[in-house]
This record gives sequence, structure tokens and C-alpha cells, in this order.
Amino acid sequence: MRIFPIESTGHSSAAACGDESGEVPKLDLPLVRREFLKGSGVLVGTLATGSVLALLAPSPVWAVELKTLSKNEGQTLMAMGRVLFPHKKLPDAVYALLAKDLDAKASGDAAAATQLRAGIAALNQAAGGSFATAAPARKLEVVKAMEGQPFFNTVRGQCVTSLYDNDMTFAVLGYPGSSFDKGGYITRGFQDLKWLPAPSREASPQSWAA
Amino acid sequence: MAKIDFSDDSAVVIIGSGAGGGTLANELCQKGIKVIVLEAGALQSSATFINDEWKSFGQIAWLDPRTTSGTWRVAKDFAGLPAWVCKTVGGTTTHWAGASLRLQAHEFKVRTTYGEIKGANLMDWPITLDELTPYYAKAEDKMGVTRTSGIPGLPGNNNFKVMHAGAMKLGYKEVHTGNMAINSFPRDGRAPCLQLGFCFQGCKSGAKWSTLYTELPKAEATGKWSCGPRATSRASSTTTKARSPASSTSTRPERSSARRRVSSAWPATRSRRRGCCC
Repeated sequence: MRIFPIESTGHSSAAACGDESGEVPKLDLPLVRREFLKGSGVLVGTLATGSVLALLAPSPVWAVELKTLSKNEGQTLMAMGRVLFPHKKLPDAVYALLAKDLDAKASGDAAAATQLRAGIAALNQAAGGSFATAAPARKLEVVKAMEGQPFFNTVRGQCVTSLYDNDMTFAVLGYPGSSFDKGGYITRGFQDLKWLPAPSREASPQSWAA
Repeated sequence: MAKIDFSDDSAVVIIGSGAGGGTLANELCQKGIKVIVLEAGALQSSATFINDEWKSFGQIAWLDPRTTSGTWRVAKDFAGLPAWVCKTVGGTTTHWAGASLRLQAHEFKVRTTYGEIKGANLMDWPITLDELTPYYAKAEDKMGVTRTSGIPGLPGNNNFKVMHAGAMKLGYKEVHTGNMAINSFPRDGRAPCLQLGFCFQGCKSGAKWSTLYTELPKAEATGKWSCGPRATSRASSTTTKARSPASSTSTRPERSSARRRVSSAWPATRSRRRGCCC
């Protein structure tokens, strides 16, 4: 039996961390959290307990940092995304990705930032103060009135990838994603449908893997 | 890969390495003719293809801004993106579905068959199916088209079962899994289909025919072949120095950049290639 001393053996470098001493030295890592809070706003939320995502996620709490837009502006864009592409099953965390991607666009392009800010202001004004907290029917009305405008098209265009090209949406909608790493579907039910008569061997020959 | 001197006027320059360019390059090389293929896209392989629609789009699609106009929906929604075609070695043969159907006899005579259509300039083909048949057979054999050249058909997936049942109910007599340039069994040094469901993102099993891992490596094996991926930017910056800028096929990049491209671009990535036929 090996005995590990509890008190410090005086090692202080990462290389010293090992089975021998069992010590995990404290490293001088950069303070990621401090960097994180440098942004213009942070969107935070919680995944619903018992949902598909809550089971998969390492933590039910999520946070998205904005670099240019404010928290309020981010929330307004999230609300607009939900009006454009309403999915009851998708959590706010997905719509926050829309705000994040539009924020990135605004950070890299002053004209885009101006367009987004003006659009957000117009949404709030049309909703009589706060678009994000307006009643669902009012939100729909406000967004519909903007259809075809450049701001509307920017947000809608971004939704295509922001809302649908992410692992959370894949999981919620049941899209299995990459298949090559699982050997494809050749041995995983690509022809397991049973409720119709089987096509003839001529129409559908046997697989090489059968 | 061959080193072809810039002053060698026996060499043929082919723009693009897709279905047409890649195939032509191999055919010429097999006859001992030196070929330089200029390809705008970068070199990928079955190993580097990505089973993810959007990431793959970023990897192999033609991303340069393009325009479209008119009243169709794409002009409104994605005016800068009118078609999903490729800018990569192998061109759109990396992206295509593999469906390889022969035209039918009457389709060579559309004008005769359907008559004049007002406002259209409908014409008959100047060739017939009979004339083209031997070439179809040759192409099908090269590409490994199922249900030709003694190649078995692909097994039908669940979608096919639904389509088959519906088509039979509608009274169709011939319903099968089609003529696909996708290996149903190992052939020509390439693996069979794994039913990945990502044909359009570049076939990771190499079962689907693409010049990337068929014609191009075969051309390369002749020692008559030279290819420069990512040729567009350098070629366009040097076309003013080319000798005959009037013709795109004879426009050659300035000497030193052509050498650099030929000697550096391909060999560096060669070792990454996997599942080749040679």
C-alpha cells in the first residue's frame, strides 16, 4: 500500500503534478471570468428542468456575452427571433445565439451596428416602450409591419444559421448530425421501415453489409 | 507530379478540375499528353470532408459573391447566393448526388417531340442516342454507375420504400433505386456506400464518384499531370501579363507564380489524401 503525505511537498509547477505526490498545484491561469465581464452586456438564462437540453448540458444555467449591443438590445433581438421563428420547444439559449451572432456582426461593421440599433429602437417604439415585454399579439403585429425592411431581412437571414445550426436545436428537433463517426446508417436501420411491403430484390438489392 | 516548363507549348491547360476538366485531364494524360489543371478551390479529401451542412458549405461551396435577379424567391432571400456549387478540387463532383441517367431517345428531339413553344428557342440535339450510347457506356463504367456494367443497384433506404410503394400504387412498372455513380460494392479501389446521408457534403467513404479521388489521382499517376489548387486569386492578379488574354483557355499566369504553384500547392497536401484508387 502506498501512502501519500497530506502536507505540501513544496512542488509548485504543473510538471510536479503527478501520481507520486497526488498534489495538484495551483497554476497561474489567466482570469477568464474577468475577460468575460468586459463585454457590453451578458444574456443569462436557465434551461427548463427535465428538458432534453437540461439532461445534456453540463449546467442548467447559460450565459452569452455581447461585445457591442447592450443586454436590453440583445433581449429585444431574441424576442424578435422568437416571433419570426416560433418554436415552443427551443429554449431562450438558442435565441440568445441569434443575439450573439448579430452582436458579432455589429462589432465588425459599424453600418450593421447602426442598422441593428435603429431597428431595435423602432421595435421598441412601435411596441410602445419595450418590445421584449410586449404581449405576443402586439409583438407579431410590430414585426409584421416591418416585413421587407433591411433590418427585418438582416435578422431573418441570420436566424437561418443562428437558430438551426447548433447542437441545442439538433438535440431538441432530434437531428442526429454527423454519421460517419458512427459508421453511417448501413448497419443502423437505414431500411428498417416495416409498415410497407418490402420492395423486390430487383428494385432494392441486398446491401453489401447484409 | 510533373514539372511542366512554362515555355512547353505541347502542354494543355485545363481550367477547373470537376466533372469536365478532371475527366479530360485524365484522358489526355493517359494518352501521354502533359496537362496543367488550374483549380480555383483548395484541395480536400474524404478525410477532411465534414458531416455538417453549414460547416461543409464553408469548406467546399463557391462563396464568392454572386448575384441573381428577377422575381424568384432566392433573389429576394439570398440574392448573393443563387446556387450551391463548389469551389474545391474536384469541383461540384464532390457535391453532386451521383444520379447518372441517360437521356432517352425522344429527349434528343425535343423540338420534334413537343413542337414549337412560343417564346422559347427549343431545338433538337444534333446527335442521337445511338451515337452517344458507346460514350454513355464508357462514362458509366468509369464512374461505376449502378445497374450498368454489371454493377448491382444500391439497397433502398426507408425513403425509397415509401416512394416505391407509392409509385407501384400509381401504376409505375419500373421502380428501383436508380442508376447512381455510388459504389454498391467495393470497386475501382473505392469503398462501398455506408448510407452516411451526407452525399452533398463530400463523400467521406469515397463511394460516390468524384474526380477528386478517381480521375485526378489517375492522371497524376501518369506523371504527365500538374495541378494548382487555389489558382484564381493568383491567376487573376497576373492575367494582365499573360500572352493571349483574349482567350480564357490560353491565358496563363505569369511564369514565376505558375512555377511556384505547381511545385508547392499539391505535394504538400498529397500525403493527406486517403482512400485513393492508386
